[in-house]
Amino acid sequence: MAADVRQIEDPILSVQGLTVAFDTEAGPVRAVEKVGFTLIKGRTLGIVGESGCGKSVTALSIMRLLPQPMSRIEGGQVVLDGIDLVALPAESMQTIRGASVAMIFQEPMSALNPVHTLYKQISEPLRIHRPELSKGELKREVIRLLTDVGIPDAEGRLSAYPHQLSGGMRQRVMIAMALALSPAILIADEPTTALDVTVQAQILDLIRRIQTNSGMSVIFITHDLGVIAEQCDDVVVMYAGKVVERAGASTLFADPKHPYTQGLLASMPRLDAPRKTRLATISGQVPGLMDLPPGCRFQNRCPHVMERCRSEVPEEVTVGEAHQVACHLYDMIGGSGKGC
Amino acid sequence: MLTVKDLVKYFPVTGGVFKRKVADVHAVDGVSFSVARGETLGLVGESGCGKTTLGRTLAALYEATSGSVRFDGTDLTFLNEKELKPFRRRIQMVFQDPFESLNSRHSVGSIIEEPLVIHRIGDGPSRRKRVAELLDMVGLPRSAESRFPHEFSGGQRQRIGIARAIALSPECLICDEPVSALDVSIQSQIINLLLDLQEEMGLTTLFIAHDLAVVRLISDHVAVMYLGKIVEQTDADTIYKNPLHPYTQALISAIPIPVPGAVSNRIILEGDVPSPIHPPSGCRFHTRCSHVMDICRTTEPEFLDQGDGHLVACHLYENPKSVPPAARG
Repeated sequence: MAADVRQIEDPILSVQGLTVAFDTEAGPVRAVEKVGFTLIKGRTLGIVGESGCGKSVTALSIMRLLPQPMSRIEGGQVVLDGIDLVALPAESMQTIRGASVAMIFQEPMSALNPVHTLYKQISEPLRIHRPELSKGELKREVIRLLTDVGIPDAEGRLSAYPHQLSGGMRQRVMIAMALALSPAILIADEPTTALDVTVQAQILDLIRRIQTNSGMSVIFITHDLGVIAEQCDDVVVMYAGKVVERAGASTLFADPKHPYTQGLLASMPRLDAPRKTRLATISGQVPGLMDLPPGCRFQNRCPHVMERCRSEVPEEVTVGEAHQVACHLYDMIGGSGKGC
Repeated sequence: MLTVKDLVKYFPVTGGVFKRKVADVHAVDGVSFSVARGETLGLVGESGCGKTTLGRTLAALYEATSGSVRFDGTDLTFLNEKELKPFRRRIQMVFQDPFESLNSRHSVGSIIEEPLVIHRIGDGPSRRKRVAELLDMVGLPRSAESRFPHEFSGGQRQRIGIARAIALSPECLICDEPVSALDVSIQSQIINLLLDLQEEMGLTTLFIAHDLAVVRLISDHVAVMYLGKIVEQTDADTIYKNPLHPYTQALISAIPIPVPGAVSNRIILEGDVPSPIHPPSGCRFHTRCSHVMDICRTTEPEFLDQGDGHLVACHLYENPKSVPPAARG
C-alpha cells in the first residue's frame, strides 16, 4: 500500500488517537479528539488550522504541558523512540522535555522571564541537564548558542534582559534556549505570528538552517498556509479538534481533498489574482466545542454536505500516496470523491 | 478628496524627576500623499513604521505636530473641536481589534446607534430603523441588536465595528488593520464586505495593513512606509510587479507564497528597524540596505516621480544614469 511507504521512512514521533479534555463551567469539553499523525525523522511536519482547532493543545499534549488541573489527556498515545509519553510519570517527562523534545512559543515576551538576564535563562537547561559543565564552559556554550541563532555581539548581550530586545531577537533567544540540549524534535507553536514579514523571513531561514545542520525534526504549528508551503514537508490540517486531512505539502496544495482544506486555500488573498475581486469564502463559523454537531464537524459550512455527514463521523481514508482525508465524499466504496 | 502634505506627528518622550521632555518619537515624519474620491490607498509597513499614527492623525484622533490634512478642500489641522465635528461625521474609522474597540457594556444596537445620537441624526424610531438597515448591510441578523459584543465571534464583531463606522454614511473610511486579528476563512468574508461597501457607498478609503496580499487586493494605490516616512508609492499592481525601493523589494520578497517550492530570490534584511526616537541620518533605511552608498548616510533622498506617478525616495533613482537594481533580487 502506498500509504505505508512513509512508515518505513523512520518515524521519530507518532501520535495516535490523542484525545484531550478541558473542564469548563458547562462541563468537560474535548478540545482535541482522536488526533493522529507521524513525524518523520529530519522532516518538518506542519499543523495548520484556525483559532481553536486544537493545534496548540496537541503540541502541549506532546510536551505534557497542558494546563493543570483543568485539562487532561483522556486517551491515545504519543510515542517517541518506542516510549509512550502519555504513560510516563511526570518526573521522567522532565528528562524528555528540552533534551529530546523542545518547544518555542508564539509570544517570546511572555515565554521569557522578564526579571532574568539572557545568560541566566539560556544557561538554565544546561545547568539542570548537564551539571558537569564548569562555569567557563557554561558561558562559552551560551555564547555559542546565541551566536548560532544570529545574535550579534552575543557576549555583550549576556547580561541583557528580554525587554531590551526586539521581537525578532527575543524569538532568537527562545530558539537558542530550545536548542541548548540539542533536542531531536523542535515544536514551534506559531513562532513567527507576532513578527513582521521581514523578521519572519529571518526566523524561518534560521530554523531551516539549524535543521539542515543538525538533522532535527520539526513540528511547525501555524495558521499561515504560506508559511506551511515554505517550511513544511508534510501537513496535518485540523478543524474543530479533529484532523481532517494529512498529506505531503506539495500534494496538499496541488490536490486538496477535504472541502475545508479546499475552502481555506481558495479564501487566501493571492498576489497573482486580479485586484478588487471577491474572495472565495467559507460561509458561517466554526462550531463551538460546547455544541458540536453529531457527525462531521464541518457539516454546517460544507458546500458538499450530505445526509450521512449529519449523523456519521467520517473516518480517515487513504486517497493517495500518504494522503489521508476524513470526509464522507471519499469513503464510499467505489465512489469517486468530487472536489472543487 | 484627501490631501496630506508634509504631515508630522511627534510624541514626546519624558524622563527625569520633572517628567521633562527629553526626546521625540518621530512617528510620522513628513508624509505627503493624496487619495482621489472613491479610491483606496493601501498603506503598508511593519510594526512601528507610523502607519497607525498616520491613520489616527487623519481621523483627527491625534493632533498633527505640523503639516496639513486637507479634506475636500478644508485644512483639518487648523480646526477646533467644534469646527471639526461635521468632518468627523464624514471621516470614520474601523479599528483592528474588534475585542477592544467595542464597549462591552453596550448592546450592539446602541453601539451602532451611538454615532447617530452624537451627531443628533433622526429621532428614536428612525434611528432604530437605520440600525436594522445597517445590520443588514454588514450581514448580521436583526436579532443582534439586543445582544452584547461578547456573544459574537471576532469576525462578527468586526462587522459590528464596520456597521458603526458606516452609520453616518461617511465619505471617507480609515481602516486600521481591519482583518489582521481574524482567521483566514473569516478574513475573506470581511474583505468581501469592505469591497461591497466601497462599491455601494463610493467610499474613499485609507486601508492600513501589514499583509501585502490583502492590501493589493483591496487598493488602487499603495504607499509603503518605513520609520515614519513613505518610501514608495504607486498603483497596486506596479508595486508588486516592479518595486523600486530596496525596502519594498525586501518586503515583497518576504511574503510567504502558498506554493511549495516557490521560494526564490528572497531578500533577507539584516537587523531590526531602528528606533524612531533617533532615526538614522540620511536615508532611514541605509542601516539595512544592501545597495547603500555614501550619499545615503548623509543626505535624505527626495521623493521623486520615476514616471507614471511611481514615486520613490531612494538615491539609486536620483541620477537617471544609474542602473536600477532588478526587481525582486
